[in-house]
Parts: sequence; structure tokens; C-alpha cells
Amino acid sequence: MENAIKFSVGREGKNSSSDVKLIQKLLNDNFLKTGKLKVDGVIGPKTILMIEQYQRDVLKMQRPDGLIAPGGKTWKSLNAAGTSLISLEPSDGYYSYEPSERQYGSVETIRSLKKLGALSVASLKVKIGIGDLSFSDGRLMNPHLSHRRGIDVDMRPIRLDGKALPIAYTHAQYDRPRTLKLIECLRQDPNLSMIIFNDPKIVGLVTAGGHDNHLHLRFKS
Amino acid sequence: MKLQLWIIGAVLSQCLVFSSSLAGVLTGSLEYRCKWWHESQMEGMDMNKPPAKETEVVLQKWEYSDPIGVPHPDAFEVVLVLKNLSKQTIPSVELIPELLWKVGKIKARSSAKLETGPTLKPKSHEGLKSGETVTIRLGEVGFKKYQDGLFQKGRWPWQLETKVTIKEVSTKKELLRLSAVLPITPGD
Repeated sequence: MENAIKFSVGREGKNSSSDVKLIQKLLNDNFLKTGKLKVDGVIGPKTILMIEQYQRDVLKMQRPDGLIAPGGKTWKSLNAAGTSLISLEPSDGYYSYEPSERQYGSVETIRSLKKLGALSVASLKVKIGIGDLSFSDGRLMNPHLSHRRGIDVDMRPIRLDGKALPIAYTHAQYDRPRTLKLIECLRQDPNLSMIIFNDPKIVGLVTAGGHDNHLHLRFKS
Repeated sequence: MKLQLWIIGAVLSQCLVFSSSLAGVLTGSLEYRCKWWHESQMEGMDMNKPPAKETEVVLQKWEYSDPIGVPHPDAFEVVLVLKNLSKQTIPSVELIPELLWKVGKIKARSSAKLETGPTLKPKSHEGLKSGETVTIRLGEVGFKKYQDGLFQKGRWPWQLETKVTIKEVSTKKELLRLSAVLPITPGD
């Protein structure tokens, strides 16, 4: 199979069989959302629907056209998906509470975490617990909705005893002052987009179900 | 003939009296249980080589939040705990489970509606002595396979409610009905 499309694929595209096959494979590998597409090189409503979904969900296009042109925005994004993620290397500043295969991030996100790790050693005097990021190929991370583009990171709040253990903000071992300091460190990072965490005594956070025991960080890139 | 009818009638009435006397003498609870890591295993766990999950825990919810601290097992058991509060043995009982799955779009919990999913077969239990408490494992629910199939279609099983009806085998009389709800929360 070629590694680039020669002609347009999708709605009203030229749709050569080899190009369609490549797009179907990339969509399956990097954007499996509505069920696996048959990689048969035949353009059809399912393939076009998935191209549109990709444009809507990933590229945030208001009016997806369902068409992928060689060198175009959709092609560049789909071709890059899952190939530009790098692994989170061990550090003195953090520990992992997920397998390493689930800890791949974008270059910028990994850089942000490394900076945070250095900061946590210096000022928080504790190792930060880091959970899920993404798979190396950006495939769906069941049962997460996000965690596909290497910009989402799960992180444990800090414990008073500093142990590498689970902790919820409602627990007696929860260290709010140091968790707040961690959040302040994170907020200094221009690459940070938002933090989801349910501690009601920390202002400016997004809250959501299932976030009593971890911070969900979303980075910009 | 009259004597025979009288004997049959007497036996039947005894059964009826016996059965009705069972109402309210059986109590119990319904739980979801799974094997999970013990707290002592959790600190600094190497998730690349996780230890075996050997501790049975009661599952209050299935939630993918902290992957170690909050159980989200691939399979779990439906467990019935029954206690005979009466002064007599309760004869053979039939246990009829019904699993009610609320399924909907993964992006919209409010879309969840009842639909069929994994089920459990009825079971029976022989003789529950006076004052005796028994733990009956009704069966294992293979959750992961079910959840995987739904997830690939952008759907999610948001809740499981198990209802168990306990009937006396000989009379088919209902002795007790129990239910337990399991909220199921994906990651974000």
C-alpha cells in the first residue's frame, strides 16, 4: 500500500482504489469511531461518513465536505495522526500508574510534563502520578472518549504522605495545598488548555463526573 | 374417597400454611463482586507487570477513573446473600435473575434506554436451615466483551440493574425479591 494519496478521496473525489484503501486504513487505525471500515478500495457512504466525522471531530470543521485532497488539511492531519506521538520517559519528578504503552504524547505535551516533573522535584518535593495519555498510534483508548491525540493527560492529586497511591479530594490523605501548588505550576504553562478536577475549594477548574481522584489535563498541542 | 380427599386437602392446606409462613422470614442482599488488587499491592505498582488480582471486593460502581484505585473489572459476579430468619428450614428455592442494561450513546448518558445484554441463568438452592446465612454465586457477567462491542459503535452500557426473584420450588410462591444497581462510568 502506498503511503500517500495521489488523487482526491471522498465525496465527489477521483477515488482511485489504492487511494481509497489508504484512507480507509488510516481512518481505521487512527479514527475508529463508528465501527471498522472494510479496506476494499471502494468509496461508499460509510467511508464518506467517517471522513466527515473525522473533519468534524478532529479538525473542528463546521461544514465538513467529506473530501480529502492530496496535501490538504484533512490529509495532513490524518496522515500525521498517531505518528507524531512520543513516549513518556521515566523521570525523578513523576511516576506512572498506567502501562507505558498508554503513555504516548505529542512532543509539546511530553515537553510540558518533563518541565512539570522538574518543577515538582524542586518545589513540591513529591513525585507526581501520571496515568493515561494516548497509545503510540493514536487508536481509540477504551473506555476513554478522548486520549487519542497525545494532548490529554490523567494525573493524580497529591497525597499528604507522598505515597504513590490513589487519592481522591474527599480523602483524609488529600494534600490540597500542594495540589493547588501543582495546579498553579500547570497554569503557568502556556501549552495548557484546561484542567478537569472536582475539588470545589480550588477555583477555576472544570468539573465532571469521575474526576474526584484525578486531574484531567488537556494541552493545546 | 372422602378420606382420600380429606388427606389431600389437609396436605395442601399444610403446604399453604407452611408457604405463607415463609413470607417475611427470608432476608438477603444482592451484590456485585470482583477480584481486585489489595490496597497493600497498590503503592508504586508497576503497571507494566501488574500483580494478580486476588482480593474479592464488593463493586459499588464500575468506573474508569483511577485505574488502580477504583475497580473496573473485565468480569464480575452477581452474588446473593440469603438469611433464613425463621425457626424452620426453608425447602428448595429457585433463584431467577434478570439483568436490565441501560444502554445509550457514549456521549449522552441521557440517551440510555433499557435493552438486552448479557444474562444469567436461573439457579436453585437446596434447603436453608433456620438461622442459616448462605452466599450464592449466581454467575459471572462477562462485561468487557459486551462493553467493547458497544464502545466500537460509540455506545455505552450506563447502568446495570439486577433483579432476583426467589421462589419456593414446590409451590412457585415468591418469597423475596431483591435488586441491585451498578452505575457504569467510562473515562473521558
